Amino acid sequence: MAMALGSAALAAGAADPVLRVIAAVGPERLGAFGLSAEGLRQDCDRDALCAARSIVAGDARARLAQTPPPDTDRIRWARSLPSVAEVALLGDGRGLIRLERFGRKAGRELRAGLEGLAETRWDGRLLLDLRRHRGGDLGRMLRVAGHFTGAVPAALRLQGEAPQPLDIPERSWRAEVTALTLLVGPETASSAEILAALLRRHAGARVLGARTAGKDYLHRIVPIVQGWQLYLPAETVAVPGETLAGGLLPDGPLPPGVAP
Amino acid sequence: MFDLPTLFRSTRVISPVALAGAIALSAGAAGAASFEDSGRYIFVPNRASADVAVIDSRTDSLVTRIQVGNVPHQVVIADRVGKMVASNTDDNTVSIVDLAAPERAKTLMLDVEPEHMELGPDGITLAVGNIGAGTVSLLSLHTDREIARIDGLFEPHNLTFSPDGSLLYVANLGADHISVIDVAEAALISEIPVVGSTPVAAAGEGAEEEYQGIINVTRTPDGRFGFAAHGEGNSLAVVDLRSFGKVKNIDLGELPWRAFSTADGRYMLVPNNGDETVSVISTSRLEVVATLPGAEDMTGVNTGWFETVAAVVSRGEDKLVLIDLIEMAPAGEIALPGTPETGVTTPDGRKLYVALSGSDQVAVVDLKTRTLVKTIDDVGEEPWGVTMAGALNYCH
Repeated sequence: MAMALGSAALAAGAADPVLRVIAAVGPERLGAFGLSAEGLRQDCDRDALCAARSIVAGDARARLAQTPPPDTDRIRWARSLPSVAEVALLGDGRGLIRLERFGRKAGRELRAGLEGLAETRWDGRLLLDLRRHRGGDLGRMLRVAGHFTGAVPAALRLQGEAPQPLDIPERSWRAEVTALTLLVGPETASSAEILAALLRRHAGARVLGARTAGKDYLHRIVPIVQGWQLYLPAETVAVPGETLAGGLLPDGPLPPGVAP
Repeated sequence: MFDLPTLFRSTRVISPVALAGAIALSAGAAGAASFEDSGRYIFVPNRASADVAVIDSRTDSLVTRIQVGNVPHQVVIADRVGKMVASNTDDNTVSIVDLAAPERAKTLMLDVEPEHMELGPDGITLAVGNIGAGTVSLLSLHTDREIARIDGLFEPHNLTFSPDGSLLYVANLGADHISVIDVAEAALISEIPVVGSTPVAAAGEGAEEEYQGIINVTRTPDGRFGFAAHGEGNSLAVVDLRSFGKVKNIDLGELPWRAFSTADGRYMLVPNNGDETVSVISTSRLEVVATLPGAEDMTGVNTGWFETVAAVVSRGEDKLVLIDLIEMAPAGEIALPGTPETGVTTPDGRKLYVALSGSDQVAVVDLKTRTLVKTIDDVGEEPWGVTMAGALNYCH
């Protein structure tokens, strides 16, 4: 069956939600999930959630996520979930910031944390703790990186169907630290481990702890129906000079004075 | 009774007034309250006290508070039929109040979390987005009934009618496209892609809770173009609203909120909350003509005084950031005594009213002199917006 693609298919999705899912995934990619457009339409009729579940069943890296109920306070960004979970001054004068998310206010929270440390007897050395960071939005991660590195063209590469270099953007302020150490572990995943690789490469950071999770590919979000999103495996990420596949190897174990 | 320009009719969106039953007039109400001259009044939905404050714009004083349902989000004034409608998000209802006899009110049960509303250019058809259900309700304010319910939306946020009222464009907060509804058929007829899919790099749960799609489709007065920013991108899509095709992308600052049109339609102003700037876009050239300093957590933009000035509402810094639209340059700031939400400019462009949720006030700003001239106290608990018939109203 000849099927319209791209925006035409998306327009048709108004009448056929399954067609919308097929168009978003790309009919040519369905074979990778052991599916065909015709088969999906036959099996699922107009049930987009059924189509998404079939895709997830065909690739363990894909997942279906239920989104939280919409909430006006949430969408107004004012009450964005916190990204910085802890700011602490250690006994030897080092500062520690535990970053657990790349929320919409991550950069602002980071700056507030650094300003808070600057008001103490902080000696300028910073431990950025990523051990519980499971990753998140790629663009926000790059913006956080920019606070430590400044602009870096082609700092990473997306490889796959749409290969492209991605830059670390210039930021309006820079983190003033005398030494940067990143704490990582097996829960440090995806864009968090990419951040660690980028900062080791471009900000002279030391990476300490244990090997990271090794999730070196992106997901792309495909809204399915109200309340459900398909996370579709997409491009792999490469940081030139670093190896993400199998997990980022640290430069050494956790430093003394840091809780395991 | 009222003869308002069509331009304004199509964009008239007022804030909440949810009617949980009786209308309780405050002690301040003089005699039998009637607000038939609705163009004179400012309507302020109060989320926490579940009522709507009515302010007389001639005296800038509180006239009364009309009790509505729980967590009123937005109010619409349908002056052609002399009614006020409030969306009661927490009750899943709307309240329809006869402005000539506010004690006569109706409550309509809709779908889950009715929130944003838009009055059609006929002044009778009201579209209500049920954000929690992914549906849009179409109401007739002649009969005060829900005449259709359309599904297939993704967290429908702000709604925009075409100038002739035949089409309704729905901004999907939970997706990357604009949905188009044929109003007469009450059917979804197209979906206009705004951006490609959003890339995330996360293991397991983590990123989805802050996904922000499309807040609003802001159209030019002639209805030709729509401007839609995507909350996870750094650009604004210009959409041909007649052919349903994307014309171009315009690069903006980081994490744009939505486009706000000047009353004359010459410019679109977009607050970028990520880098705290404001992009000014020429609607004739379809390009950014200025990028100016903004502030933290910007929730709205109001223009006025012959479109010479824009006031950007900063919820994060309790102030208005002023932009001179002639010089295309910063023009100072106005500190506010409470946390601002959104504002409305009077149709003559002279005054700006801003709801201050943190201090239960409404601020009154003279846009000619660019000064705060008054605060109106005790308007209710957590005032959320301000609405005026015939004005360029907007909601969060």
